[in-house]
Amino acid sequence: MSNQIGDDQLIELQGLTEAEVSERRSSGLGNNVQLQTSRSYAQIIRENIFTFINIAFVAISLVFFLLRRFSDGLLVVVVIGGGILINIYQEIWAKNKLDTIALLHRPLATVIREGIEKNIDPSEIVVGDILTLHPGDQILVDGVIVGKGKVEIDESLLTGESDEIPKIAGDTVYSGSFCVSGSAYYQAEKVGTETVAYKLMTGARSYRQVLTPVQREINLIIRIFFLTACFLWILVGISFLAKDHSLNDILQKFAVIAGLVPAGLLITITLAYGLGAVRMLGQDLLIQQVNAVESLSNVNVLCLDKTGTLTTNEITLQQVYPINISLAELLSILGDYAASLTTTNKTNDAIALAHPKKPRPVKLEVAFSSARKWSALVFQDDNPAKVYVLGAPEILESSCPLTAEVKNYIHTGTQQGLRLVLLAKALRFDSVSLENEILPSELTALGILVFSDVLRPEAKETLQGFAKAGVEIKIISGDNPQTVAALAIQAGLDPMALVVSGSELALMDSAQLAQTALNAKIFGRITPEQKAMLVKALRDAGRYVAMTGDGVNDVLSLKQANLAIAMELGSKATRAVADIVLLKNSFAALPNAFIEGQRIRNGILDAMKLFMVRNICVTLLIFSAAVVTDSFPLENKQSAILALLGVGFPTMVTPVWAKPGKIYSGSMVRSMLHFVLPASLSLTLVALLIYLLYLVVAVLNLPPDATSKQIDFSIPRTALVSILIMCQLLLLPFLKPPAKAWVGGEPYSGDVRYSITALILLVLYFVILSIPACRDFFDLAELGLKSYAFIGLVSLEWCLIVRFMWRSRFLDRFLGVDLS
Amino acid sequence: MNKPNNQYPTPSIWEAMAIAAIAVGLVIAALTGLSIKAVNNTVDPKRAEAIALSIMNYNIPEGSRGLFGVNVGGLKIAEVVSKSNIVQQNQSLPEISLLVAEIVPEETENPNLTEENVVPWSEYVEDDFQANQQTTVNKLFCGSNVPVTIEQGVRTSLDYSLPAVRYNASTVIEDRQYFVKITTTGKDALSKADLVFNSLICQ
Repeated sequence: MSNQIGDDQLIELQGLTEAEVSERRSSGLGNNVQLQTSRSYAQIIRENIFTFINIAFVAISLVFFLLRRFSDGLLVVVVIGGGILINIYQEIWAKNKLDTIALLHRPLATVIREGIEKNIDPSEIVVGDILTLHPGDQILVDGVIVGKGKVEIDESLLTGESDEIPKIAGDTVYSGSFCVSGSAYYQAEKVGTETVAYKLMTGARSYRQVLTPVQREINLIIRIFFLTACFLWILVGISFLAKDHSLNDILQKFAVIAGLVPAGLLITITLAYGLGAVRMLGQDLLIQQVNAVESLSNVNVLCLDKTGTLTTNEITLQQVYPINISLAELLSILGDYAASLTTTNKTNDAIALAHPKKPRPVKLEVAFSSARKWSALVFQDDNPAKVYVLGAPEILESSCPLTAEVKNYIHTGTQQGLRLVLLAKALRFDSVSLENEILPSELTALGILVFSDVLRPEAKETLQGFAKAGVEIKIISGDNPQTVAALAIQAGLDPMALVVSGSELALMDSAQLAQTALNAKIFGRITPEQKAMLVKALRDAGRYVAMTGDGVNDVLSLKQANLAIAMELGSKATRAVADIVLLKNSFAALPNAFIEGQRIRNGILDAMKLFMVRNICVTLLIFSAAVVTDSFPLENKQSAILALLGVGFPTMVTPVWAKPGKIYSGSMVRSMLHFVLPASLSLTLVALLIYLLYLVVAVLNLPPDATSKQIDFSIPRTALVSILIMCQLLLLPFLKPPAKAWVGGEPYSGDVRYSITALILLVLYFVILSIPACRDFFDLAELGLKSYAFIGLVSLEWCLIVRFMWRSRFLDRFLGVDLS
Repeated sequence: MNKPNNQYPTPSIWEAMAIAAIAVGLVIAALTGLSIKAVNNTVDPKRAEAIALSIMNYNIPEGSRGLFGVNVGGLKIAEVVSKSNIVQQNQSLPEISLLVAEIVPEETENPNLTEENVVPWSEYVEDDFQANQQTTVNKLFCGSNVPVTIEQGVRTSLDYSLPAVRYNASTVIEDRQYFVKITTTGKDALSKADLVFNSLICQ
């Protein structure tokens, strides 16, 4: 480098020449690296397309196409493709929104080149550039402080610790941190991919896709039915070789079996997620992953990364305690002091805000520094001259004798995690010593100032809402444990909550850490690695963990969590890895999202119940019909109308009308067994009996010269479709009982819309049956009114049977397990 | 076992009994419906004659009408009678009765089905025929020369006794068993039976 670091004048006035800049840029020393502000389009598309379920359904659609059943194949393609497109659209919308946010918050760099300050895009910075640093500026590349300037840097986005770190010439500054106070220059040493921010971002952008319990269980169900279908395909294939079935018969069977894999369930999920995303519009939430809202409803531990999540990042002067001085006099001095300081900080701002006054001329000022922990001021118009010193009591105490009462007051405040500052004065002081930042030796205490962090207005209500919903709140912060605890109490958390510090955590073995992660609620001075360990320990203990974060240091723990929540004004890395971004940094929208998530989950659960009953029933019927009658119970189009009316249409309304409410903490499949098992087993039996009855009728109807191979199976199959559709539709009022009489499988709902839907679909079925063209299209026969009336009576009897099984918990007792 | 946690109203024994009673009622209704349909099918004259004709062609002098017919799975059996009757003691008896049957046995049931080992099932059919004399002659039946049992006797009841002849024959064609039983009544019973037998052509 041509510049001499340390030669302040030269650097401050000159910086690099444009020629040097060009040369360095062409030598690859430029900062022209594009940091991703969100997931890439390719990543979004890849993550949405290459899933097991999609691949399975593509295989199913290929089977349909090979069987020349193009409409069925197309239907599956439309279902899968539609879901993928909706998901991609939603995620790209979120990405664009994130990119816009990143653009809005994109800083400009001020560099000195050829002795002139210039505003440039950060990508134009080169190694050796001198950059200016003022309060509020983000450090854009890694470098070292040069010149005489002093700054205090907030590296909390990198380290998690919110302490302000003083930096002077020779000290290293890291990209991603912020200047809080002071002014200085820094010289770029590492740019582009070499910077700390880039390296952390690279780690942050690695693949992360967490499936929710609902998605995992749906995947499991689809996989089980896919395996069952494969098994049946093999059996049917063998039967084709062993028996004289026609090719058309085999194709029909293949198609019906393919229908066992519940593609409709994916439509339901897409619909539920899509509706959730629509309902969350305008709620100051950016949903990055389609499953994020539903995921939130599963959360039982919410980890807040730092106090900044709860606070507005401002402090307020809560109380003033005068010592041997009147309160009015003390407040007057404080007002003067705050108004007259030229270098300000948060403490000073809080005093000025509480007691605004006009500035007085200053004779001497010692700016506050975190290392020194005090500031001092001498007013020009004071006669006799005196110095006022404002600082940490433990620092000033050495020069300022305090009574036991005052000490006790300070001790109590500190224990409560409050920030206490002592104001003192000295009549005798040495100006030269003071300029050299030496504290006057004889100070007289004037008062104690008590500051507290300002809670976000929605914080308390939000946390209480979560607590009410059974969500445990834990604060895992880089801040002082006592400060965190005090805030937590302000926010309404348990005042007796166990507080653990990072140093205590470091001494624990993994078992102790796991136990502490569960028991303690407040963690202070926690390193990023410890944060991630705590989140992992909670997940390993079976908790569903949501983690909020804003800094790059939070990325590790965010990636460990089931649900990652980032702040809008956090680092790009956290926004990129997050499932949800809190716009305006407010988590007031989270309770609504939580409720919406419950609604999504309940809607999917309802749909799954209907699908499970239908699929178990049809699978069992395929096996039992083969065993009892050596026949196949359904044709493809009959299977299609059964799927459409029995589950397809009903499951389109369940996500729309679902209500938020209790979420089962255990397995979803298990929670459905109480409803699904009695319904599917009893329905299979009743449907099989109806099928057999009408098979006998078909045999009796055989023309005199016909053989048994000429039995018209459309009669028993129509009867089977009719009983299955009637019973499936009767499941709707059982799913959401409109009256107490329907209570058995599910608790009373009072919602009549589901029953009305069932009625409408039943009428639609009879309309289809009554129109010959429709009836023929679905390969259905005309059974006659008496038969339909009989099947209707049987379905009503089935209702009584299944209600009896639910209410008496017949299967629970028989199996010796609790199915709910 | 864990006692199930029941949040729903527990049904009473009466409810269970009522559900069972309705189920039984529905089963009975279904079976009754099936039985009625089966009986109606069986005694439908047209259906019976169609079944008989689907088994074999025949020629009954002065025409025929179906008496009963069954076509269930692999079994077809039908009886047709002549339209001409003999009136005796205020009772009307058909002159000619033709009972035909076709059984399609399962392949695995009897893979080596021959004329020698077919089941002479028609011997078990009881009626008012009493044989006095029995002869066996070889005759052409459905393209095969088969032994035909010719029984001569009477048809008796409390009110009358009439001369009658019965032909019994069976054959196997392409793994299908065909049976025939011709009963003729009256003075020309033998020639009528012979006439009918000679007209038989298996389908």
